Amino acid sequence: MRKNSKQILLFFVLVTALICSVQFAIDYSYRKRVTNKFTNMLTHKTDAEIMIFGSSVAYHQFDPSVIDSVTGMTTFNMGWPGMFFVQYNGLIKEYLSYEKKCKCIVIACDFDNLGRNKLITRPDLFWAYLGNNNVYNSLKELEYWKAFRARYMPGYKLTLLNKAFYTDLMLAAHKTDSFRGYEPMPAQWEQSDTIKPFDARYDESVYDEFKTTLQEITGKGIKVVLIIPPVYREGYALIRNGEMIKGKYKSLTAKNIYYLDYTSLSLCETKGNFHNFTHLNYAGASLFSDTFAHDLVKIVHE
Amino acid sequence: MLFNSFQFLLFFPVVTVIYFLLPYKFRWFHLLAASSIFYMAFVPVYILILAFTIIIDYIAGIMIENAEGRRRKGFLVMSLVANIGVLAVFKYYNFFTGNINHLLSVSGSVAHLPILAIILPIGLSFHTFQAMSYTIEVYRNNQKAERHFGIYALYVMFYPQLVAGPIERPQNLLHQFYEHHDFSFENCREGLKQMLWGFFKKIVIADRLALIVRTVYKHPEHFNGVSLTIGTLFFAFQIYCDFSGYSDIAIGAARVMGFNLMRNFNRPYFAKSISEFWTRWHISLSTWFKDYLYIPLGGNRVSVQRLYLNLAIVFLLSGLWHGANWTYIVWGALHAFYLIFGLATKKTRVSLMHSIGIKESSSLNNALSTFITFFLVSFAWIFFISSSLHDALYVSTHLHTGWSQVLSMHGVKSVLTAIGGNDTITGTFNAITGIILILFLEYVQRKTKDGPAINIVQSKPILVRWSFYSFLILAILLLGVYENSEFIYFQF
Repeated sequence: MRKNSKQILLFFVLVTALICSVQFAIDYSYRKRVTNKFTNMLTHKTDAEIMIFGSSVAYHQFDPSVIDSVTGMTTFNMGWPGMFFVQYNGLIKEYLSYEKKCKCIVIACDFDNLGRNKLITRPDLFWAYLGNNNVYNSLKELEYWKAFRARYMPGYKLTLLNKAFYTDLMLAAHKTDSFRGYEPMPAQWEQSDTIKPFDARYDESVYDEFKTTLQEITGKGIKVVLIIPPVYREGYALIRNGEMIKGKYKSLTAKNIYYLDYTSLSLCETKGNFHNFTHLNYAGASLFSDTFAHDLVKIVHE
Repeated sequence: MLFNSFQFLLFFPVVTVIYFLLPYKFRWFHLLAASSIFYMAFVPVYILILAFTIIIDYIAGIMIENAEGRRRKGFLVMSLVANIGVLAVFKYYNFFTGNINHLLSVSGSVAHLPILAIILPIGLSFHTFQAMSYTIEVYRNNQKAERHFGIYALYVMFYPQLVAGPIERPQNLLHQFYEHHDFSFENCREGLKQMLWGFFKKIVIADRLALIVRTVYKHPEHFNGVSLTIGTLFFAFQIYCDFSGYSDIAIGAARVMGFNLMRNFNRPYFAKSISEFWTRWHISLSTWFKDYLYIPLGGNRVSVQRLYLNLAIVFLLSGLWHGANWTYIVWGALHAFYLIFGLATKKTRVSLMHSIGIKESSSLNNALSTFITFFLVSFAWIFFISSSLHDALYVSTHLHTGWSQVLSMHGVKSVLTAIGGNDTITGTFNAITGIILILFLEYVQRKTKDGPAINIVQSKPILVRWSFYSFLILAILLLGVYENSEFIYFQF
């Protein structure tokens, strides 16, 4: 019985060690082989004078090259579709831990930005970096047990790795950012006609966390600009609590925290500037980026 | 609670450890409580249905034993009506009323029977059949009525086999709850090995094959015969690995605690005839139908016409048992047809073989028989997996299309793209891994003949054995599919 017990124990120890080794090898290979804006940030390679964070309203609407040419300051867009504050908060904290150049952080405030998603957006981009506390803490806010098990339970993370992860790993995906993190949207209008009025997601605890992060940013002498990006006028009418959400952002205005509302811009009247209700197409984004950049110049040089 | 879930990963060791730590007299209660938790993880309120049938059958069993003459039969009928009644309401009511409503509307009537908005209780078909086998065996004097209510309830609810079998017999299972099972390293080792093999078959093979099967059978009209054939053949192995995988996990989990459940699969695709197939596939169900329907109808000790009728009744009901849909009934009918045709033409086929010089026991005949049986079974699976008769008929009449395409690389690429859901890389990867996994499965099964497949490395040195088990564990972690993964037979 003693010999059998020792055998069982030894088997489980060896298997656990094997699983941990495989997991480590996959994570290490991913970190070495895959390059994208998230890996660059998490390996402390990304630094710019103006950093833009947000969801798709950042990703598709803020053209760094336009902002760069107007402001004369290096700009980088860290936006990603579906990624709201709770998740990119970890990236902001990570960036603050190493940045040297940053003068201004722009946060594109999607109307759902202060809500709490139930799911992690594109977890495959972050699984190899779960050892990073900022990444882990932000993922834990969204799917606590999944993140916890992925970090601490040998083998669990292997069950989460999906096609996108392996494709990037096998192809040693090297996504160079000629657009510096920005992805323009096509000109063609694509919006469902059946969309009904809705309430944007809002969570008071997320708002408190947001406030804390803004304080951390300004505490480092970096200015924060909160942007309500352009929304096509017909789309804005569908957001029942739009004014309430705007009010929440506006109430955060303080020293070095600026609030800019672009929902009344003239370009919001023209459907031809938009891909759908809440996203400018590439032409609209170019116009908006230019307008925004001119406003930003005044803020940065204050 | 699914076997392939994180919850079960915690549930199983906790339940097992507590089981062995408890004194013998409390273990039945612990297992009953654990089984209740296991069942209630699905839809908690449905445990009331289980409780209803358990109470009825417990009382019926005692009444049958105490009664004499016609009263015995009366109590048996009461039990069967209660069980079949529950099945009829929860599983078949909407099917029958849907068909009646259709007939009424076709005939121009405005009358309309109400459709119930109810979810099928999980494992209903399994535990009702297991409960019915108890009262029937008590009636036949093959089993003493169980006086301990908790033990009887545990017989019906024993969690490893509660939701998808094996459908146990009281003579095999009931007495085991009174036995004193001490921890045995051999039971633990063999049980865990069988569970590991079951998880590999389910999570790696079945769920990987399902990726292509689902794509093809969701909209079969979008695919040509090549894709439909691949989807059908993959389904043949998907359903085998899914169901036998579940059975292996159930049997293994029970074995760890010292319980022996009956074998449910015995390499069915190695069968050389349809009748042999049914002695190897879902053995617990086929023997249930044999013992409680086929033999009471007269079995094969009747006229030829009556024999054919008996087979038709058994397989039509077997089809209906699987689901409330015409596709399952047609599937059952196909198997009945295969058996009847096989019996009717046996002499002709044997003499034909002799005339062309093929001996019955020759390997050529064996190979041919195995291939033909597999083809017939796979063809019938089309009706099993299709969501409607229309889809099933479309698939079965379009299998021959598009084969000339695969003579060119472009044609092969278009098939792989189609089965990958318009993604060539996904289609290629899933097809290649599917084929490799099927070949691996066949190889392991051939090597181990009638023994458990996991014992392929039993006689090898410890390093080889452990490497094999580690390979299976890593394959489960790396190749396993964890999204949208339920067991096929849960829906029955």
